[in-house]
Amino acid sequence: MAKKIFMKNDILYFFTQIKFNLKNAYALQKSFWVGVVSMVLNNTSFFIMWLLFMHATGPINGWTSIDVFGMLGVAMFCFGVCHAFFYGVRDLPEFVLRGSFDSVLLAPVNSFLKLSGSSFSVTAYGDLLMGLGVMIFYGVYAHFSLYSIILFIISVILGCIVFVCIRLLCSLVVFFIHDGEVISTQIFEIFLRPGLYPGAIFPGKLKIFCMTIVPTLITSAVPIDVVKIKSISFLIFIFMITLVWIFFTYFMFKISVRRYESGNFLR
Amino acid sequence: MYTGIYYIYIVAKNATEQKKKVVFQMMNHAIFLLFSLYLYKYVYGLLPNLQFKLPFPNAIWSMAVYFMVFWLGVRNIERYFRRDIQSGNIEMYMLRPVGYIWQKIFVLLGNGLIPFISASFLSIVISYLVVGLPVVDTSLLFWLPGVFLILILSQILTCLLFVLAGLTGFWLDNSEPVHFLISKLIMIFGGAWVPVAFFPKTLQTFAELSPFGGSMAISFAMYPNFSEHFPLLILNVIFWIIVCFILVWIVSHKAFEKLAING
Repeated sequence: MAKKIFMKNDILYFFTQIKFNLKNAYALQKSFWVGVVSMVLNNTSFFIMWLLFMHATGPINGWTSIDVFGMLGVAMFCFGVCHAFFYGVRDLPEFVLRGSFDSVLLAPVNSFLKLSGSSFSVTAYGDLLMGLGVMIFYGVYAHFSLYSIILFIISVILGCIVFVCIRLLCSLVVFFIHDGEVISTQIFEIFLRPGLYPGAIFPGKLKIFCMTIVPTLITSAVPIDVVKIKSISFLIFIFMITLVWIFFTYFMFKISVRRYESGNFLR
Repeated sequence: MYTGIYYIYIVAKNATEQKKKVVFQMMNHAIFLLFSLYLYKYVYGLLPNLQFKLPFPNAIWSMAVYFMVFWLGVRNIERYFRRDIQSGNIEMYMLRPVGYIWQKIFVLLGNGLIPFISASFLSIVISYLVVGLPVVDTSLLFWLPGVFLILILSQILTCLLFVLAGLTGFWLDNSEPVHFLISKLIMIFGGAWVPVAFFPKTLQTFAELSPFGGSMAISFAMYPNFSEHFPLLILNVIFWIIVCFILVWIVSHKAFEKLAING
């Protein structure tokens, strides 16, 4: 534990990886923008669908169409951050099955950061940019005060952290189940889907379940709830849950990596 | 015909090797179904007026059948096309005695068969046990064959739509944006997460008459006014099948002429 988890050089290495990933993707400029625009189109469908739902139902539990709009923006931003900067985490099962995880372990940098930047998704930038745009629009439309802006930014950061943790935990399945690539995707979908439903339609117990045991709402509806109720204690509660998930992910990562056998594609 | 069935059988047999994959897919399906059921029950409790738009059991059945056909994976045909075009493997498939498009359809059906059968079983059992049968204005003897006919025709239409999306890859290199566009339009107008009955009237009509709603006509077959809408649903799906079939025929000829073999 005496080791420094994130050293300065590791972080610099991580950002260099991202810079080169972006440069590589931008070399095929047309393909890059087609990917980004197609993801924006893809995301627009969720806005249309839930806005039509809210049009039919009217406000539910104090949530209006614009809150659902903001919630989807948060969900897209968290998804975008995870897949734009930590895409290697998603590709971990592929690395393990191919045996190329060796290069991650042998590199003289932090394994998690090395892994995160080792792969890249162009379309995630569509999610990232759209999510950011929608969140800014939501903040302006809802006339956020400075206090609300701070609460919102902190809760969105916590959402991004939880998202990366869950993405990594789902990928770690591959260390325990042979050919776990598809299984990892299925488990991740179970986590992802509830976050795309408006936070307003969750009954109390289910909402708590989806904030703690399957913390999907932290990556979508919780930042909206935080600015709506402006409760610092609620934010601290979310912070504590995030801490639990960070530690759990850290220990699971350590345990899982120990199970890796070099070149295990020969199994 | 025999070749096709044999092809599907072989692929399906191979797919059964991945038992863990199917188990997790079905877990995902069951969890999502129960989750939607629980949420919509709460929403209907909060807003009882929604019963007048669409009764609760019908809403659940319409979403259940949407996700049931989702597991057949007909939409994946575009991905098969894209992979072959981008890797250049398409030339290998073109040399086989079965047409390229048919090969891909057989592989797709073979791969999707087991998850589809499992998802159908789960959808029917869960929906029936929790909400009972949907409320429809006709007898079960007329409704069931009608639903089955709509299921077959709507999946043919879905397949043609995604074959068209895949064929655009011959010109675009990457047909993924077209796939996104079509699949999301189907998601909205097929009533995946939000039943179409909740939409404004104009959009409902558009959904029912468009090829995107038509490709998920199975979810409209769960609505209370089934007997009234059945002829319209069938005619609409048949119309779009004819249109898409002609388009596939023309576009595929042009696409295969465009193909350059690297050797």
